Amino acid sequence: MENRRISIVFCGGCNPRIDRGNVALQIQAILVARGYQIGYNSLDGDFVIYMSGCTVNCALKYNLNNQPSVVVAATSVDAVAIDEGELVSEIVMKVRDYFE
Amino acid sequence: MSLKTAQQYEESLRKLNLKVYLQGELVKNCVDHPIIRPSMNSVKMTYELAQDPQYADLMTATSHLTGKKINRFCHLHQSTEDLVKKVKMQRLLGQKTAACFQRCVGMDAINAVDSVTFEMDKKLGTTYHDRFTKFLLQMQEEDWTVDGAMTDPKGDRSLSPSKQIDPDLYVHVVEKREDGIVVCGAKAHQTGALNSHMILVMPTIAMVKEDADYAVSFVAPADAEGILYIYGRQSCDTRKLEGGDIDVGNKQFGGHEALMVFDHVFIPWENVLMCGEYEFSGALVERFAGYHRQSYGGCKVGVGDVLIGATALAADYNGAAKASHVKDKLIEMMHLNETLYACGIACSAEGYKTASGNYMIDLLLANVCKQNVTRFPYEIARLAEDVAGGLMVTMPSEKDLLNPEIGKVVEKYFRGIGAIPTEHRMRILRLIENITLGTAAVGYRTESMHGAGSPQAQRIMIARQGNLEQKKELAKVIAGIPQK
Ligand SMILES: Cc1cc2nc3c(=O)[nH]c(=O)nc-3n(C[C@H](O)[C@H](O)[C@H](O)COP(=O)(O)OP(=O)(O)OC[C@H]3O[C@@H](n4cnc5c(N)ncnc54)[C@H](O)[C@@H]3O)c2cc1C
Ligand code: SF4
Repeated sequence: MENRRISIVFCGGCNPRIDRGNVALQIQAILVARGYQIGYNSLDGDFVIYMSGCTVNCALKYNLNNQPSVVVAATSVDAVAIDEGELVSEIVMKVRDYFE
Repeated sequence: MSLKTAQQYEESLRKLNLKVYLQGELVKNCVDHPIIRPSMNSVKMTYELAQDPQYADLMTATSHLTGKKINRFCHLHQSTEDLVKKVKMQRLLGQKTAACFQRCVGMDAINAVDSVTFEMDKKLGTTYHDRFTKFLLQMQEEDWTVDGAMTDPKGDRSLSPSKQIDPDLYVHVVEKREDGIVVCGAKAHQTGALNSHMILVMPTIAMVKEDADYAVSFVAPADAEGILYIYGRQSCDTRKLEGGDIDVGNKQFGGHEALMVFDHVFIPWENVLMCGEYEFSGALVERFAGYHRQSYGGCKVGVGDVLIGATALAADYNGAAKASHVKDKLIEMMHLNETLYACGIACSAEGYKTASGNYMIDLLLANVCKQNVTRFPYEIARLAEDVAGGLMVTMPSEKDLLNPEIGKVVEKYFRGIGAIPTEHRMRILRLIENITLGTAAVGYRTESMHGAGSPQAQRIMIARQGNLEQKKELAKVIAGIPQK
């Protein structure tokens, strides 16, 4: 379990199409309940959630060492468009697919 | 081959067997036809500059498929830098031709079809993306010019494709066979159709289940059996038949559009890229239009550079260049032109990677770019006409200038400042006329209005992408209104 550290890396948030903070909090609640640790804006986790508010995807600019990750840009997850209502579950699924 | 020379391009067109009507007559030789040839010269410039080391950085790219150097017009954008270079290349070509160089529509089409076929295959288990990639490899290898054919004649705009009185008003599948499909219909306003080796057909609107036969995309050789072209007239086009070189305004370069008719054209399955997947037609239209709205932030700016230069020369030649209002009008023209460019660059810099790996522009900014393009070239043209003076539309012909009897009269009365020959003044005024009212106005004005979608189409996209709800929330916070 000690290896399950998740970093959520935000973009700057100038013109977001999604409520990044709220999405992150929901993910945090679900993952913490399953024993994960969550950190913000650092790349020292074992898995990174790049969380950008729009398609420009500025959060991904922090991706320097190709760590295992999921890329969220507005309502797309890993470049595939999904319904906004499914965003949190889709991201959580990507994290769990990696670890579990 | 990968990079054709300009001459090889011209020769390759001579081998095509296109069926073309122009002013009611069948054209035997498109390449040398005086009305068509200037448009061929514009496309030829895209080959010529790609061979020139001075322009290689913009004009060429490295194929992500083969690692070979290819013409940027055959490239799938692999980064935001590629998107920016695309716009810069288009500005450059606008500057070199002062016309539409036609090859962008195909480039925008391949970039849209790449990501949409990829996503379609992923969702539906189809195999379109592999077929498309095979086509792209060949396009890059042969350095093809590809016509991006989206706009159908559309008949009654209030009716969907399947509800039209005549089913051919939108391109559709009339027969599905074991070896391929048979299509009928037409595509209107086809830029550079006669200067293209291949056609990439795409649906023109988002569709519903009833329209499934119309949700069709494919590639075909430009001279495939059953395809007929009817050449579009341009204002002042027959001046090109007069043999002179002043009155045409731009003797060497031009653009063209044509109606492309499909009369039971057979398309083998390996060339079919969508056949009935109506739920993806909207995405294809949106992405193609997005790329093409970005394109105008380059090409129209390049033509604008020439028009601004011509306007400044007109003022130099008539002695008004130092007047403060003339200087100010030139500043305004440059400001408008650079604003268009800023939009083209901005939507490129804010681009993003699609699931297939190529890069898409920022849709909101591309639509803002095109919305400005529907306005600013008109204002730039208005200012050009202001500074040019009435002579740009009342001037005698070059035959009068060259006439031994009256040439001296023309020379005497149409001279501006003493140091500049009347002929130079006439040339510049004819160039302004060409871009604002003549053959090139097709590209600089009306295409700025309707090309890549009429203004309302951009406003719909701006409404969709503009993030209005978030703006309301921002205002509530500042105004102290409790949030939901
Ligand atoms: C010079 C030039 C080059 C072009 N090159 C290409 C090309 O290479 N490839 C290509 O595929 N296309 C090309 N186009 C086509 C271009 O995309 C269309 O002109 C554009 O989409 C508008 O369609 P239309 O000309 O049929 O206008 P129309 O549809 O006739 O529009 C006229 C007006 O009616 C409005 N209107 C139309 N339908 C509706 C509706 N349903 N509801 C409300 N309002 C409506 C429009 O907003 C507009 O104001 C080119 C056009 C031009 C002018
Ligand atoms: S109008 Fe502009 S973008 Fe379109 S084909 Fe012509 S030059 Fe290219």
